[in-house]
Amino acid sequence: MIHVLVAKVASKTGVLSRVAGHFTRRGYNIQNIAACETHDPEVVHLTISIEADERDVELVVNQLSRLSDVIDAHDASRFQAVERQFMLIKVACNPTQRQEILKIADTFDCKVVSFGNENVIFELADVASKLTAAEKAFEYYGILEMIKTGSIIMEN
Amino acid sequence: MNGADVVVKFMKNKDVEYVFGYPGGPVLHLYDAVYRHDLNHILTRHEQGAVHAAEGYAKATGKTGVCFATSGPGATNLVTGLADAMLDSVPVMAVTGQVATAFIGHDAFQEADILGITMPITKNNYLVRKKEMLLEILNDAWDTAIEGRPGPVLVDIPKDVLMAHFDDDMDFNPPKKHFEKVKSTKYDIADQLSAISEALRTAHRPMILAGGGVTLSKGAGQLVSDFAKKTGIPVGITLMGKGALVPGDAASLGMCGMHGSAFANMALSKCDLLIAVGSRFSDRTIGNARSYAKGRFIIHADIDAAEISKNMEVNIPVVADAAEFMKAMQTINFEEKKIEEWNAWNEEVQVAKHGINVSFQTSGPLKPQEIIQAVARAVPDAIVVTDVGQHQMFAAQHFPICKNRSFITSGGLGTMGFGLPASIGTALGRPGEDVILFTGDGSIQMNIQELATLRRLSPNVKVFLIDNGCLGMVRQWQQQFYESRYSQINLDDNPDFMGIAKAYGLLAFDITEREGLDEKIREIIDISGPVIIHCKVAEMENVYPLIPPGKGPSDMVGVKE
Repeated sequence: MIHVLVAKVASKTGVLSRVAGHFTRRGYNIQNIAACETHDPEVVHLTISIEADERDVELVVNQLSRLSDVIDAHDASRFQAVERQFMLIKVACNPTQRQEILKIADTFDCKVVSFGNENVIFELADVASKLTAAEKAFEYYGILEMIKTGSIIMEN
Repeated sequence: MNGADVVVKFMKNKDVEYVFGYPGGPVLHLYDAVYRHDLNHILTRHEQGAVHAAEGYAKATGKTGVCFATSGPGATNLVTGLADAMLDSVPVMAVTGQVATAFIGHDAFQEADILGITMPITKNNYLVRKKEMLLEILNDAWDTAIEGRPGPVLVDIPKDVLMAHFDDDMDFNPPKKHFEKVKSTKYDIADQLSAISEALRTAHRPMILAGGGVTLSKGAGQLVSDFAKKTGIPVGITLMGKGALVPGDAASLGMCGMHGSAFANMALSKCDLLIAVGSRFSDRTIGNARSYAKGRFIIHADIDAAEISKNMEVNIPVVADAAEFMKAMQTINFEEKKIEEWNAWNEEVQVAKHGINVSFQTSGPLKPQEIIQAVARAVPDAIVVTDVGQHQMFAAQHFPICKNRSFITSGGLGTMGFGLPASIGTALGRPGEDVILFTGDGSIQMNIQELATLRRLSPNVKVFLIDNGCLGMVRQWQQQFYESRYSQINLDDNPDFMGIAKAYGLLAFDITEREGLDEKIREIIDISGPVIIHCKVAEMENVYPLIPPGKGPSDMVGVKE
């Protein structure tokens, strides 16, 4: 099962490699990691998605908390939180399909960031499931490129 | 004053008695400061020797062991010792030189990314990128090594930072800048105590397992002993817990685990409730954790929250220092009837102590166990340091340790070559006490150059070199688990150890005979200063009892009823 962990860490050189190393050493694969600036310039907010058993998550969090530069870490699923992901998606689009594709984009609240003769790039910030749904909808026309930032999470 | 002065003055401010180390290019400024400030620096003959000596000092005193090394190969030579300190929770502070900031990442001469290399084997490590960070980092590193569960730290200082100018009147104790970590209160003893007392009230055969944490936490051993006396609950120790309870302690069953005593392991397999204090349920202690936990109630107290459910899923976890936990345990009151029941169970276990034993033949060639027992008779209150292998387990089994912090061994990492340098650090940390090193013909050759350090310092270390002409523990496993296919264990062309001792200028004796063993050992112990005692012993002796890897405490091999 995918677990999303959040951690506040000191903004120091090497902290990301320290945190990442913590997971690889124990055989976990990081599916997503988002390192974000915060209101405090000395603190970085990490959102990390990993595939792990329920029983392993607590252990992973405890071990993560042990790192000196980790101020606080926990499993986000234990809290009420809002989640957002950001996606850039380049969809194949010839001039005849424009109206159709823009309509779909509109349904998902996608914003146009670039418009060419052969493709259009949209941006979308929403929950993970919504991003997946939009991706599915665009698949019909051909996705030329797609990148997602991974989730960022803020507790209510 | 320059950065190097800051480092040396910092060490002096922290009352560091000894620094173990080895000079080199990027640390020339540091060693110049060592010279100018007359820092008590011990030159080992290899950086690995320096870090193990620092470990020995730290293990024996509870104070932080400090070592210096140069960049590149000097720093990488510390790796094994840092990993060793990490697994045995030893406070060690390593200071390494690094090439100048401008050269970092350019594959400069003697450059190694020691920060990256030691990240997984230190509690924390630091690269001082700017001179403004130096003192803050030194302070943070110092605190980190000793706070909570102790461990090693490494501070990597580029040459230009060591050379940089600092104000002479700088404040050596700047206010802490590092973050206060958010402390979890999960599994606090206060919240768990009622559940613990409830569980104990229904237990028929409870047992305490005291680990290394009990030896590290001030007064914890006495508290365990008091609690055991009050309740009648028997106590087993782990290899790292050796010394926590004095051997005369009625409650003590001795060592549990792969080579633990038969009755301690019997108790471990028969108990219905286990209270593990300051132990991480290492595979060498408990074998197969999953099958052990079946049908048993387990309470686990550890200072490190990351140990909770790491190796063993337990019923009641407690995050607490061993002494703090035992103090809380003292407040529980039990019914007289329960205490009687537990005393009866204790007696049953204690009877087994006399019934089951592991014997060895005292005929034919001299046995390693005989040497160890004879030394224990001669200096019962010695600090025992070991290397790694059969002699280590024989020492753990046959040398009752009667003081805390007096069994200095590489338990977690199992580092051959640990013993000799560690014994030097131990002797320096505990002057006036007898230090006995048990080492093997394999182990000693892994850091044999430290005989020169031993010769120069001449501390009171008696080196018992148990020579069986092979890598005994590997040979035993090949015999037992690989149908006696002895692969690469033969050391029958060992150097002449007496000649080696002589070449290093050390006094040495040969022991080959059983007759007059006690007298001979007593005579040697009475000599002040270091002595090498080369003991030629039986090649084929095995360490028993043995719990085969992956099995449980009830699967002991080599026990005679």
